[in-house]
Amino acid sequence: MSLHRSGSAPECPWNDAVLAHFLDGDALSARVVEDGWERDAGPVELAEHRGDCDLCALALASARRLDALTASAAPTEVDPERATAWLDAAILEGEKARAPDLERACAPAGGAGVDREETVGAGRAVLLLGAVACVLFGVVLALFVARALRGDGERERPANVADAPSSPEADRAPASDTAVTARVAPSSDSQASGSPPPESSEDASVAEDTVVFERDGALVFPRRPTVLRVGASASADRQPSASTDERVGPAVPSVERLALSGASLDESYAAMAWLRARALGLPPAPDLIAELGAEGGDAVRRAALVEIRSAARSDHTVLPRIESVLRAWPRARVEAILAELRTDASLGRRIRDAVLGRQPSGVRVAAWIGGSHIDECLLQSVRGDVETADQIAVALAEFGRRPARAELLLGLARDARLQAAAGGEPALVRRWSTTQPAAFTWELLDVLRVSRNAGERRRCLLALAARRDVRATTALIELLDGSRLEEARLAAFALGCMPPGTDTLATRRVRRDELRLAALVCRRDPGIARRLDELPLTDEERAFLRGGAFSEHQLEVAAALLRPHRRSRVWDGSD
Amino acid sequence: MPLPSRRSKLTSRLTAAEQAALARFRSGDRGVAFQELVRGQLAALAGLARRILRDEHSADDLVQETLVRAYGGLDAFRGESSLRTWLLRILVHLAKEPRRWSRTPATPPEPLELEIPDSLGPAPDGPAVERELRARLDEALERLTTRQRTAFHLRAVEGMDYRAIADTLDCQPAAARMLVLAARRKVMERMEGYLEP
Repeated sequence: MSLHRSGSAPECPWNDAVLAHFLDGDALSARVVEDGWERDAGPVELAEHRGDCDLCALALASARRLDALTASAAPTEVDPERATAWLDAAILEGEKARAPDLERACAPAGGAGVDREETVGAGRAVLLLGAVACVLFGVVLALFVARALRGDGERERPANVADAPSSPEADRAPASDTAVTARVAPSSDSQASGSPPPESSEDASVAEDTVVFERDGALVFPRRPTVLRVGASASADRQPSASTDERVGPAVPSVERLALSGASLDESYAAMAWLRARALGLPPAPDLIAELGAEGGDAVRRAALVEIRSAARSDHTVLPRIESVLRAWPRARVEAILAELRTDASLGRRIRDAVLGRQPSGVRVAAWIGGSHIDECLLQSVRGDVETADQIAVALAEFGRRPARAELLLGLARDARLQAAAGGEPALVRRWSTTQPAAFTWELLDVLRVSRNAGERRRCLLALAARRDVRATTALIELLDGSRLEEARLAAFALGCMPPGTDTLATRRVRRDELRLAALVCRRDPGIARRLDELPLTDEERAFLRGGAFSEHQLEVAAALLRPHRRSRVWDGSD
Repeated sequence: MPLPSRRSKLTSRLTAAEQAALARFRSGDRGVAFQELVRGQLAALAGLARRILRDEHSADDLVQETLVRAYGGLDAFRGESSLRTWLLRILVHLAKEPRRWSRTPATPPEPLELEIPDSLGPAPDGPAVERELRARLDEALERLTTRQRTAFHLRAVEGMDYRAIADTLDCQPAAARMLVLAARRKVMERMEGYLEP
């Protein structure tokens, strides 16, 4: 499906709100358009919409892949030599700049030895000083005029002024103005002069609310420092300082506030995790709370593990809870969490029990987590149950990457009862393969490279045929030219399913040319039509070949017809 | 000028190691402490510089200048934002002068040629798919405005939320949200077929 905004494919007007909430952690309500009207939609409404709307679900999955791809494309480390060179040069330049700062400031602008950049900088500084002087002059003038007018008023109405009660708002107003000036002025100055910008005032205000997790499991709030805030909303938030004796109960509103307006996405999610665990009635153990509050590391991952392990210690409903916890986290982060859970032996037994009991949540969570033991349980648990097998396939498709996904799906497709229920092995493989993410193609090629099991290789080629992914054509052409006839036929079938004109098949010379031609005919390659006219074929055979889009068996028949010195076998019209 | 230590302790968003290094920097052990503070942030700086400027040499210059400015301004750093956010803000601020960093005139991106591996090779899921996807991604990101590209990089790579992105770009959180969503939408349009399940 297309995600083109200007294209013919539809796009849901809630897309932006869904992406902002579920991918970017925009925890507040979002503006959405419905029936031409804009209105606010809360998190619950967004979650319901996400469950109902296929377009938003697809956009969310695509956006998650995009974010993960972008993150993986960024450099994770710098060449040590280059880093050292950068740092040494910075230190050298910085030390040089420290000493002659004063001299440079006194030097005449545009004088000898001053380069163009410095001249421009000096010009800007003069302009800036001029502007500041103008503003100051204006303020002084305004104050002078105001005082003069007030003096006039006092002289005219001395009795009224003396009787009027002074309001609290009027008293506070000058203080508020002072606060704004104190916060804003240094910021604009420093930016204009090109010096390092100051830290954010927003960060400062949120940092006050940061919860400190102590070893004894209690939540402790640091005493609030006096910080000047800009705007009315900031002053509305201000609450009395919490003492270090405050415990879990009174602290919850602050944690909620942190969840909604945390200094960072990680802090917001960590706080939300804590709230969810509390709502579920799971008192997190002191050591886990301490782990969550530890310095450094990935707060999100640790918060999720705190939730999951707390749930694991609770009761028999652990797997639905784990599923709900995992679904509440951004997908890109869940992959890291799953990697950690894969090595968590304490969960393994519960998951295996749930899988063998065919609990839906257990099956889904197990399919996400994976690992050799769990995959073995999943294979054992299916035993001809189409519904369970389909659940596993759907769960496997939810993540971009998942270890041994291809092996597991191909192993499931080995079940004869499932094959019979789906209408044959190719149909079963097709049903599961087409819904898997892009990386599945490479996972299949990897299986093809290492597997020596003929059945598995056959299912692998059928899956590649079903995916119609042009990135597999090179490997398929190699198999077409290989020594194994059965695999060459399947490779031709897979190549025949590809879109025409996407590879070099039309110009390649291979050992079994009739299979290559059959693949080209199957995909209705434009260049093959003239070739068909030249062949000694009956009208019926020619019509059959022109039809293309063969099944696996039909492709063999077509190859027989296209063989250079073909035998007496002709197509009899049957499949 | 360093602020009183009580305030720094109360509002600091630095780790204990960073605070210790910052204290050593201010007490005179500047070179070693600076290296200790900044070395771990170089990859983030280089990544963002390359994403903004699209030229490796210019990006190196930008990182270098960012470090020089950071060295000069570290005395005044109060720790109210994380060190990484502070450094990225300096870099974004400096990158606003495109003529200073552009060595070559900007050229429109060439049409992408898909590279299909010519042999199965030892690891089929390795370089080929990476090259193809990254080429597509680079092409799509180059068509964004600098602010969109920067905002999207900060969200996807640095994991910043809208508020932190707004702080870095000197704009409102709502504007940061629009930048990120617009950038993502455009890139998804360009990469149609590569991202879908």
